Amino acid sequence: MNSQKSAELTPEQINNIRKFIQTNLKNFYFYPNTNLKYRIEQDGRIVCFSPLTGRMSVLNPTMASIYLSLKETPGLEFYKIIENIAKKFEIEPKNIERDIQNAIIWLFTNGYINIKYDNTQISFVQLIQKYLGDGEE
Amino acid sequence: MKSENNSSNSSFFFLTSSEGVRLSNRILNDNLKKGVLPRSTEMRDVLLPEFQKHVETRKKLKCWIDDLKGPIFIAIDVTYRCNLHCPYCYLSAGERRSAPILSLRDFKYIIDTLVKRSEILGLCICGGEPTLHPNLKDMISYAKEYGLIVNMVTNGTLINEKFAKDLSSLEIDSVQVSLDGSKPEIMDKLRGKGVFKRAVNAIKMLIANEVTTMAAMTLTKLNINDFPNVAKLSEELGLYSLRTMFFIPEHKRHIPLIPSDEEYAQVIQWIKDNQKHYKCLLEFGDPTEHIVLGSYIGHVMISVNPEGYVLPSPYMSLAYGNILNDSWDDLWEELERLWSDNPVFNTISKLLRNEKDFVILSRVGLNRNENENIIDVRKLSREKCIRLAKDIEEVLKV
Repeated sequence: MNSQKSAELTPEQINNIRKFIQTNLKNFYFYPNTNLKYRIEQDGRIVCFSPLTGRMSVLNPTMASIYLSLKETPGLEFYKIIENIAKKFEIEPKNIERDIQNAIIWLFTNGYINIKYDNTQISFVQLIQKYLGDGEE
Repeated sequence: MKSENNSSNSSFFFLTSSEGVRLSNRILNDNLKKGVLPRSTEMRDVLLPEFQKHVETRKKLKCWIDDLKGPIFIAIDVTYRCNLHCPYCYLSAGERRSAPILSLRDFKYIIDTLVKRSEILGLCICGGEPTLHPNLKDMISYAKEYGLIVNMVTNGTLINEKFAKDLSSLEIDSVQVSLDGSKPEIMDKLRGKGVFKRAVNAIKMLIANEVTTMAAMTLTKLNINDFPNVAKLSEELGLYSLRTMFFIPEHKRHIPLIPSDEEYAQVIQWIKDNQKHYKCLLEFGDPTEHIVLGSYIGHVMISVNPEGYVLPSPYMSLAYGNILNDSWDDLWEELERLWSDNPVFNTISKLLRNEKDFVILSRVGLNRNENENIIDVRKLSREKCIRLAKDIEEVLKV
């Protein structure tokens, strides 16, 4: 019961986690969450279902491209993801950096991708647990 | 919504979408604060315009659930036979001793078709009582071979240690057991002597065998005050979630069982106040939401009965096509727009006032309880469709 209650994050804690991800984005390697079930629609969208959360969502074709590029080559770095997407959509990489940053944060915080840092691959939930654990210490 | 609108002005944006149901939950729950029950039917004026905006934004961002390859989930009623005789069953399943069961061959055909043509992601095995089906384990195994997420809905009374172990070995993704009370005095009164003990034992055995297990509680006048105790029991048992919703009456004899709106409000408020203390997820649903929002969300999930009929709503004896006989590609194209294009389904979508109206629909022969014969609307001529729509309009407008 206590652990469930302690999982409620304050807005300040959420902000801190977000800042941590933003600051370190360029040092991470990204991996797809392989527990997700998904299918690719004819126009490139992805319909995803997480058996863990019971949530279903639709990724638009660009977001889907990021997820699929990680399925194809797990462990890509931030700059490589930008490069891939820029190439695919024939856009200048610098014009999409901020969008990709937001997209990656969204994919991570919604459980689509995991990050690897300090040689450990972790999900968003594990990051929160680690953060809360550290906080309690 | 603000950030979505900002992003839509960008030349290069990323956004995603849930199926929109969470949005409707928010809108409906906001109204609970004003003392209005979160019924999508009664909240049309507020819900639909907001939902419309949500859908338009998502479409602009190319992340709405339209023009899909097919449904994402399928619920198959493998049999309507049941070993219990629950007085509130919307199917009267216990009385259907002669009801057909879906053969393993037909089951495989349905799964083959939907996986190959539409790449469905998940299957829910329902009934009746699916554990009565002689080929249930073969069915689960077959669907798992395709990599589908497989869930099952059961009363739990026929699940013993071996059965629980088998389900675990088959890697079923989750099992939902009916739990209508926190003690035998309440649940057995509704479902029969000894049912509470058997259901709880089934839950314990499933959890012991590492099967994700959920419970569903049918709320009636006789047990609604017991909801907090059922939630506590669910927590103690280690259930993943406890689901409940507005009671669906299908016959006049069900009317005395309907809880009052005040009783529903108390349960919904209790969930809101107490969820934070529970690991077990407590969910309250609206069984008419798929009808009201049908023209926006299409058929993310389809239900198929043991004879292969596609049921746009599990609570009416109306089918649209038969997956065993009709071309699935043609059927899917029509199903996607059924709630907006077909006069019968559109009339129901627009006029259903709340779940209690399913009793009223019995006047035109559309409830499940009295009708074992399904009306296949796809087979009706345009003229007959319009006539049926008018009949529905007449009874629902009264």
